[in-house]
Amino acid sequence: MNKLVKALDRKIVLRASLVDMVLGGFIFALNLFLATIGTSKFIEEGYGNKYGVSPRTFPRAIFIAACVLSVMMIIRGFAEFRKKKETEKTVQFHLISLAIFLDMVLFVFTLIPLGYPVANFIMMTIMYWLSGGKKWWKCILVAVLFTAASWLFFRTSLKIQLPVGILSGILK
Amino acid sequence: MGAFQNLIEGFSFSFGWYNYMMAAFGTVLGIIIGALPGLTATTGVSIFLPLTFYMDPIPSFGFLLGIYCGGTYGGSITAILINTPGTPSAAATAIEGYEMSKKGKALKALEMALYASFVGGIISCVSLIFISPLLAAFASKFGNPEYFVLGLFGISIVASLAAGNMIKGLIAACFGLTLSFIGLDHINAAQRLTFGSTAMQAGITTIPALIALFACGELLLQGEDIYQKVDLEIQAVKGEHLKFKEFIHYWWQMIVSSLIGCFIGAVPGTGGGIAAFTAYNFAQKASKHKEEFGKGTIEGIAASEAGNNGVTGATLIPLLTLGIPGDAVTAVLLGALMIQGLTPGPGLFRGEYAKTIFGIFALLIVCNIFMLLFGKIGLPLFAKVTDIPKEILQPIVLALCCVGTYAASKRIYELRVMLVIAAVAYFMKKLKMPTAPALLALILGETVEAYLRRGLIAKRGSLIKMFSGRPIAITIFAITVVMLIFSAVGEIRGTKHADD
Repeated sequence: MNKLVKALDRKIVLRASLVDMVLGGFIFALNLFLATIGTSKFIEEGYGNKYGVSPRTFPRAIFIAACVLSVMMIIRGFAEFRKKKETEKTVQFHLISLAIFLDMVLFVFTLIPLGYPVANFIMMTIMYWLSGGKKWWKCILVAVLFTAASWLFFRTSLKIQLPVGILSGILK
Repeated sequence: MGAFQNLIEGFSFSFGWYNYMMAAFGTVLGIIIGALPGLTATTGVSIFLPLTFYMDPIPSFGFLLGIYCGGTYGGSITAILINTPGTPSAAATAIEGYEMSKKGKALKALEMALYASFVGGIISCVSLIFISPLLAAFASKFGNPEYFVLGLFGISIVASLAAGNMIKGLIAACFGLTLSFIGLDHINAAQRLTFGSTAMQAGITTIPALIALFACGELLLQGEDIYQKVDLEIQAVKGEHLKFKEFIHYWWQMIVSSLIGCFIGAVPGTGGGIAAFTAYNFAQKASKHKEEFGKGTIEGIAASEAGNNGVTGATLIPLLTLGIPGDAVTAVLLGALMIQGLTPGPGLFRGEYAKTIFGIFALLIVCNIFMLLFGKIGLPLFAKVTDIPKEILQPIVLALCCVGTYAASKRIYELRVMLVIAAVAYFMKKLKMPTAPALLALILGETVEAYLRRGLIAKRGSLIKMFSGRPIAITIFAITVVMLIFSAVGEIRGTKHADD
């Protein structure tokens, strides 16, 4: 385990039933909104509809079904919640997962401006450290080799041009 | 045209060094992926699917089916050597395999797993070749109501059985259906849930969704494993080779287990894990040496591996004939079919499409042969794969997910979709909500809705009239309801039992 991984060793522990109830409540509210206001506001009626069958029919039915299911989820969660706390299952959310997610976000937002080689190298380097790697040479070797190999594979075998970004002068 | 003639045509159509090379490459990759703890055949197929985007259907499916078959077998390597099943379907193999390894019989266990996987895979291919054209011919009588209820059946059964928590499974399916609504309506081009965004008019495509649901979500989850101190004891590949006499001794066992795998694989919502355990339990009950089970018997490995590989071909039967995937990996393969412009259904077994489909069947047999060859030659090498450090593997998997998603469409929008669904998938996995129903619902959502709307319009908006005089549709609907009730009752009983 490296220093970065140790620093990210933070977690939130919640009762599973509580999370189920909160999630159930969120799903209920969202689908209730979608089934009522959302369907008329965000789904167009379209033209040429016949016999009351429109682009809103099926989505509305599914939103209502999701509302019913979420109420069942809340009831079930509540029943679990009332039981003894010692027997209750827990859900843990670790900070490291957020860090990995942010690494992915970074790649998405740097892909075009920096180009694939640089953005991928940065993403892989960060992921190496987040996975508990300790050696710089290994990190650079993995990131450089994979980036170069994938670049060549997409360019030559699949004929796909990945963004070059700041390296446009060299790679074109 | 007979099944044999179809198969010969399939072989001649798929014959070519490029197709075979892709099948071989896929098989090797699949065994490696299966052997890596935490990576499953489903993850493997999801990660590498974008690379097939620009290929023809035959090499593309040769590659993906190779990953599927190889991955299913590869899971047994870690199961036997470190008591950690590489894939869920190898969990039953771990019971006997690891015990054998501890006794210094790892090589024998690995070889039996390989041969049983091959037998299971081939029997499964044969069942696919014989049964699917018959089912496709029957399905040609289907109309809008039948296809609508079939889609509904597939989604609800996978949702209710996959999770062990029916409500969460069905909510996951609703999430997938909601994703399928986004974009331009396919019947009259009305904008749905696009929120004024031009990019969102294209809707949510399969690739970012499946990569996010099966690979990225898993990656976010596995990142947390670093805090769990697990000391894995890797057993050495040593001991005697499996003798031909020992292999032949269990031939009947392997055939029965393969048939169990075929039957279970053909039922939507099941998969390799259930097949392996059912075959294993059946073998235990039928065995003359019941007391040896759990202590490291080769009979148990033969049963579970023939059972889980017996699923590989059979699970394609409902997928190709009715468009209903049998498990998570076939849900991903359904996406691959759609990408290649092959719409599952009876139409696939007619005309030019039939050549492609039987070519794919032929390649599935080839993949099983490759699995046997590479498994035999490269066994010591594949066993070393279990040793690859996570800090090397995880950056590569992440990079493959991201570059694959981008390369499939060359749009940043797809990467943003992947990010959002990956975050949702992480929470779904945390809350024990299955992701397979979400993907299945996303893929089938559009067609299910189209069949419903067309059926309703044809019957002037009446649901009752739509189903009147359609016994097949009513039967499928009744089966769906009965299975959902059974699933719910089973779950309530299970909860009560746990409380007691």
